[in-house]
Amino acid sequence: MSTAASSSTSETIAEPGLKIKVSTKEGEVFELDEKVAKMSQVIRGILEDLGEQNGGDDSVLPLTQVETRIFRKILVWLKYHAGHDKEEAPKAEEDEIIARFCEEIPEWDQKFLNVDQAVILEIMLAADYLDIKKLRGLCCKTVANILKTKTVEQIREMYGIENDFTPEEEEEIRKQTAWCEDEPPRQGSNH
Amino acid sequence: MDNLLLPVLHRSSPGSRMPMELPMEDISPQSHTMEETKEIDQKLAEASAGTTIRDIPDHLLMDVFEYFDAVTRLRKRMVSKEWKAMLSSRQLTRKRIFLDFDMYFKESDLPGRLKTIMKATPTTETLNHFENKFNQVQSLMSNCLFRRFDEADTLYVRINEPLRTVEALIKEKNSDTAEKLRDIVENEFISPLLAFSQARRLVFCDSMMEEECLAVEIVDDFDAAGEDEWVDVQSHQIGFNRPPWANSYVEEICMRNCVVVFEPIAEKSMEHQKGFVANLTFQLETRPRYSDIICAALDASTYRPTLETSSHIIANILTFHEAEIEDFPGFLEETLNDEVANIPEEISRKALSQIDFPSLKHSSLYLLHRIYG
Repeated sequence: MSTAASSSTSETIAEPGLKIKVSTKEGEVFELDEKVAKMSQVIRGILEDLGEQNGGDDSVLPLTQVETRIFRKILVWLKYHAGHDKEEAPKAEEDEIIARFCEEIPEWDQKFLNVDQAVILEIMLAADYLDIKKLRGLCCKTVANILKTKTVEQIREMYGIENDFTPEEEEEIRKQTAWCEDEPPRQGSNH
Repeated sequence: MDNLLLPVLHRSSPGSRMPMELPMEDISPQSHTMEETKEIDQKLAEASAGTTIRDIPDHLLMDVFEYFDAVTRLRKRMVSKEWKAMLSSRQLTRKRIFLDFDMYFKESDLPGRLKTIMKATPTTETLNHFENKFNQVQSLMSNCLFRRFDEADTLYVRINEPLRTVEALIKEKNSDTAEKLRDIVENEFISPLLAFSQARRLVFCDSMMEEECLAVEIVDDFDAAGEDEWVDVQSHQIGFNRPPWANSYVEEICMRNCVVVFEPIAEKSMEHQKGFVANLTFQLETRPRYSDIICAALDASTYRPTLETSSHIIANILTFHEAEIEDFPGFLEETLNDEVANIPEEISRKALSQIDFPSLKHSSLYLLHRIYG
């Protein structure tokens, strides 16, 4: 079953075309199909600046901020989406916003991002650096979904964030948000 | 951003590792499957353990916060002063506010409380009790939100879950569902929501409200024109009453399936809070509910649709009508005949899937006429 799927994917994106070489922070070199590489707007921009005729030689695009371990992970995403994403007409701003708020993260992407939070953050950083908007958005949404379900105290603990409010300041904010908490604010609570 | 240097192209230099000296990575499409990434993930987790949200630059954290709805933004301000500043940032709040009633509804277990109430004493009083509870919650919510977010230009609202629960329970008790639901929508949700808002646009994201809250009614002077004149009216602005729950700031209401734009009107000519619907667009991905019927497509005075677009629209309406006729035999035939008289056969038979929906957006003026079956 998975073989068939892989085969199908292969047929979709294994068309002969330019190969783009990129190197990671550690200097490891990867050779990418042009379509895959150009999902990064940074790589696309550089290739366009240089003229595509130069892309087939031994030039290597150094991705100086991306570590190999993260790049390998991102490549999985890039290759899947290069093979499966349809060319979409640009969405109207309205549709984009509604999609952002209301559409669930696709199942494949959910599985892809079903990793440690630290890894998601690293993917997010790399996607931002490589300017892969869709992946960056997926990471941001995933992190937001995680944060939504955590209490303030849990978030502080998870990320080692210090509570830098004075008790008076904290109480003031607590009063302002008491209406949207399940339980009424406890007097003199100290977190 | 400072530490994120953009890559620059360089040729392989003597000091660098030559690509061909390395075993080239096999990254052909079939080389990685989701299963294979598990091993990568394990190694990644070990290597990334030190990365926390503190390593995320502000612009990315702001992007994360963009996915918070308005209530979550309020709640998470307590994490730290930095978060408070960012979550209160005008950059986040100035233009668009997302209010996720669904999430709050689930979190506060209002469905559970409602069911308990209904199970114990299924009377009108209990329903009213619940409405009061809703009212209290929504008023508090809107008070708090819009004192802080009063600059929001657009409100995005997701409100499916509460309404579905209320609707199901009302149906269960055999009440006058439509009326009751409409009252709840207007009085308990939307009016409080807009109490302090100066938003010009109100967008219901994937909401079931659609026709429930679109209590747009044709004003008297157009009603008086009569059905026979509908298809003949050209370049005529159709007067609609503004929905009673929409405050005077609201100029446009979007409900996924349709968009209503209110244009300001001359004071002398209209009564309180009436406006013209300048653009009522239906994408018609789904059929309108409650037997609402689109009866005519009319040109707006300021817009001249192309012939092609117009044909698409008409074809779309026809498809809808044909479906409706099955439910109401005879009822629509006369209207339909009027409308189809000049439509080529190949267009009138066009399948919905073949219609270019994007081209319909904001493309023409429709008249929505509610017919209660």
